[in-house]
Amino acid sequence: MEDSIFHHLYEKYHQDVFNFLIYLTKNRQIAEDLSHEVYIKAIRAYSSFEGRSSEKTWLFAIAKNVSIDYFRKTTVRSKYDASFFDWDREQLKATEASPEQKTLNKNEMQTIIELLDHCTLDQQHVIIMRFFNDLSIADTAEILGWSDGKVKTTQHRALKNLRSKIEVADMERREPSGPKR
Amino acid sequence: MDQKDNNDKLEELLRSMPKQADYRSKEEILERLKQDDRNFERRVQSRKKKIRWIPGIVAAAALLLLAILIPSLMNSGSPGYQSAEQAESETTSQDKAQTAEDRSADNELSKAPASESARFMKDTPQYAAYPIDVQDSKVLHLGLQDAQAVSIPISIMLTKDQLDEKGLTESSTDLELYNAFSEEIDESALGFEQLHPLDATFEEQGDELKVYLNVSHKYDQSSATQEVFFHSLFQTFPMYKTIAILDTSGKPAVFDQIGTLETLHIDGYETQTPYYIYKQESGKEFLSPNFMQPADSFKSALSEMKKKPNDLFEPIIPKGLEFTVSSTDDVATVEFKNKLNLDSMDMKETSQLIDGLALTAASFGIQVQLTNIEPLDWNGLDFREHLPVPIGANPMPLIVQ
Repeated sequence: MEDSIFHHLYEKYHQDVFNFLIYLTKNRQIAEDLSHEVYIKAIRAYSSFEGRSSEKTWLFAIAKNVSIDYFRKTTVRSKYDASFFDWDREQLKATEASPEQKTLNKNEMQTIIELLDHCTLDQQHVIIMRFFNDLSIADTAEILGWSDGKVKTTQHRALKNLRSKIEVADMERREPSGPKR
Repeated sequence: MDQKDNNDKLEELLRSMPKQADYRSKEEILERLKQDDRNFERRVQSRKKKIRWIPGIVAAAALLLLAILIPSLMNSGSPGYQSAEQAESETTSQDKAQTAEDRSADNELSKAPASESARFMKDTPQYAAYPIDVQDSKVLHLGLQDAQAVSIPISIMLTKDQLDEKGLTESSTDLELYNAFSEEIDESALGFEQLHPLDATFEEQGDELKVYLNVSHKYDQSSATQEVFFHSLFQTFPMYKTIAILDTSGKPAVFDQIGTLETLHIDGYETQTPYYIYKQESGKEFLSPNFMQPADSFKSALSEMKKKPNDLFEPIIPKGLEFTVSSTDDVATVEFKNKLNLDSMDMKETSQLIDGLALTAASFGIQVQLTNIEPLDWNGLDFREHLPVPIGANPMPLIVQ
């Protein structure tokens, strides 16, 4: 019975939930651990899932809660938080781009990932759900337990925050380092 | 490039981020789930076990009911409360049984623990065990694993007969108690997952505990399992100063995600923890640190205890409750800004507040005194004195398999 719940959840949502968790934690091992926790909680709670939300938003809400618990305990885990996923193994979406453009995109994407760390956890949740997981405003709001308006505001602030960080990073790259007169 | 172009470019870039795939096979993920004690077949086994031990639960419930009813019947004039004379008499008889040294140590606590005993016997929920609750016996400390992968500290209240049966005495060490009882404890009957006895052998040298992990151990299976393991060690062996986790050859154990394990220090910063309310799926409530997250000081711990730290724990201190904290080396005084009237509060929440403050103070090695509180004699407690130092959290009876 429980095997069949796992097969069902895996087939429909596994890669999406994993994508969410790995972008959030930036560590493949931890994303694997958290996805394990998501299954533990989801399988246990599956019988009481009342269908008031869609199954997808219900599962993402569990993943969001698991990730929040993880981040609130990161002092214990910070020692092994350094590794990130393997860019070279991933397929970029823009397959029609030239090799040069791909390299440029890859560098920009890596910058974005690094700068995401400077956003609040709420902002990271929204950016990852809305842009990396292609979730709608309504679904994101349901997962986070927010109003649509709060999702939009958080998204706006997150983009603004990211943009200003990108500008600062660009300026630092252009300016030579060393003491200024 | 204008602002709108910048916005569009950023959004376009965000939308083109590559999907990150999980390279593990479905079978690999399922196998790991099956290996998890909290799930699948193992859960089914534990359910079967529960049914087998229903008589144990019923017996324990009957004992608890008796413990509640007898004092109520004895005190028909003041239902539910033990008289001061009775409490005094219990303290006196206890003192007689103790050595002069013990008596001296307990002397300053004599009033409050006497009333604690009254509290333990009546229908007020109790979330901390106090010295008076284990007259001429001991408490077995255990960090038990809840279904949500959290280790919760529990105090099994052993009776003198239970100690005698195992050939143990009041001077037996925590490890001797653990070795004698851990295999028999029915964790599922207590509402927890199976974790004990730990897959290891133990050795103690004074204040130092050595944990030799068996080759078969799976505590490094995931970050959740290793965290439960570490926290359970902290909570099961609080009397030791250090815990070294070793492999079978006696070298420091190596966990995949951490590397070589360093010795755990039980008497330092890591165990100075604020307490929160933890509610199980069954609705049963416990007091527990939040994943053993420490605080810098008792004062900052109290500040944390007003906030909800995550989805699993609830604050002990009501939001609007204002107070100041002043402390000496051994005692912290918590003065409520507006007089705190305990009679106007819910009995369970009041117990959680007082026991939680006492447990948190004990984790910092200090006592706590509450002022600007009324009535001064409440439910057996005397707020003219310091709160007694608890010997453990969440007292529970011994239920064996």
